[in-house]
Amino acid sequence: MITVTNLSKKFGSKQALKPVTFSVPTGEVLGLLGANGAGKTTTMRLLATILEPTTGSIEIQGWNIQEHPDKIRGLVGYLPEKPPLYEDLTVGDYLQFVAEMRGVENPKQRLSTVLEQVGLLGWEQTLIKVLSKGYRQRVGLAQAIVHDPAVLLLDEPNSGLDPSQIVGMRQFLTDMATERTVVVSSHILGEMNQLCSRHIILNHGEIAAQGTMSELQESFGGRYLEIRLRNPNGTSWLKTCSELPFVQHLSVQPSDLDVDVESVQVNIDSIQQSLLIEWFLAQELEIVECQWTSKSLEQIFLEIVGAE
Amino acid sequence: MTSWYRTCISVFAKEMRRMSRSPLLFAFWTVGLFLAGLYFVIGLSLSPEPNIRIQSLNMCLTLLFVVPLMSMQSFSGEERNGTLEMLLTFPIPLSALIAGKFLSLFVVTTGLILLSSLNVMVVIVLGTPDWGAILGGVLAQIFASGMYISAGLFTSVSTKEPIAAGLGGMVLLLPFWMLELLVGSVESPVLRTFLADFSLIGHIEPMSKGLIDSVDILWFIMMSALFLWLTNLVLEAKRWR
Repeated sequence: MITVTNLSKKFGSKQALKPVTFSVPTGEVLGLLGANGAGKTTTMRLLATILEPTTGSIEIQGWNIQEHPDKIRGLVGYLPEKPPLYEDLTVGDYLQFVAEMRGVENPKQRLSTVLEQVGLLGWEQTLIKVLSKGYRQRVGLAQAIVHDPAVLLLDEPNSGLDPSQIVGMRQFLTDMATERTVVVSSHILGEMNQLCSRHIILNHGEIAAQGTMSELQESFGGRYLEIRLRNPNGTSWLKTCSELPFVQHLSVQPSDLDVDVESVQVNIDSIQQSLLIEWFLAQELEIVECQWTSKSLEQIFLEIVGAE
Repeated sequence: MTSWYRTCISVFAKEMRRMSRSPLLFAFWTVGLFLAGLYFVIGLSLSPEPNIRIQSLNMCLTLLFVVPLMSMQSFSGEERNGTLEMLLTFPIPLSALIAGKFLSLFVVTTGLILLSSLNVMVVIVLGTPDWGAILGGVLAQIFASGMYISAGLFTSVSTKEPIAAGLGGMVLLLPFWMLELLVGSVESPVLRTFLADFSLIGHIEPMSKGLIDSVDILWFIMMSALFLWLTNLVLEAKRWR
């Protein structure tokens, strides 16, 4: 369980993170999203005890980070964007060293479990410098979990992974999250949508939006009716339609597939769907397709980041 | 928190493993042994009685330049590699991390000093060895290298650039060596005593003659401890920025 209250960080005169407040319960995978420089890595580094907060507090499993930093260090596993590896050590020697530094009891036994978890069994004697990027990422992940941490912080964990490895990583993190708190930062929004149970979108060092996917969708327009229309007579209908009493918001875009077809997105109550369709038919507009839909995480992200 | 002893041993073992795979170690030993041999031969040709005194004195100066090159990667290399950040997130006493790194460099340097001291076999064959001077010379090299390593660790923790750390170590240590030149030219007895107290040669030379004084040994230990303490201060400041 992570509880962050009014946490902020300043580097000189630059405010990298404005006061943010959020919490992450055990069993949740939280996605930290944001453009470059939005404050994701700063937040991660604050949680990992690398940076000292300028203001505010962090509590992990009930321990305050300022009062008990060493206790927190024992509870947190952190994988930075570039895995921290010693190229001239073998995988086994490196993980053995990390396990010893983490105070793991019986490191050899623990290592065999971890190597199996990350798919590195049989690679113990291999020098890290000869590993591919994907395998280095696995070694980095192994160092983050070697002490069985209660909180796992992963900055761009899918960097350098091929599609099958990404699927493997997703399954692995989902399994890990059942008994832990996992915070993931990434630019791959489609992956974040599948992996994370909740998202925080940072923009210019502050929380621009947070919630589950459905909560974010609700905040950013909720469900809307998407209708693809063909207008054979070239009727001018748009202004009249937008003035209908039950239409809350309407936007029209040309269809990607057919030049004669217009794609209309309308925010209305579902009970008024039939009224709108009847109105279109009365205008002699041909309905090609009609479906209820919501904004994707990518659309919400772009709406926030692109709104500046 | 992981225990001090366990952290120190783990860091020491890791550093030894890394160094054993590094060409730098073999270059260090090769150059060191070659120069020690050269100094020994020069010493034989200059002294009427065979000894290793000139070798010991010159090795103390050589190590002043070479040891910072060995220690320059210790922290600055870790910082460039991103591994220092990982080390700082471990629940470990940072003094144990420094001690582990110091110990590994000390073992490697002492290994070189002991190997180069095998030249004493020639002294045994050619004449009567002065065992006090031999032991004092070896001790002077070992204690001086302890101070050099500590200073090297301090410059290494102070910068991200290994080359700057190496050069910084030399620049930091060289004045201690040069102080001896000033000692003779200063008139004020108080200043002269002060300068003599900090002169490396002033502490090395008596030992290389076989005059092993606990004050000299204590001076080297104090200087090493001072640089290690400064290293710890900088590292602690980096841990919690």
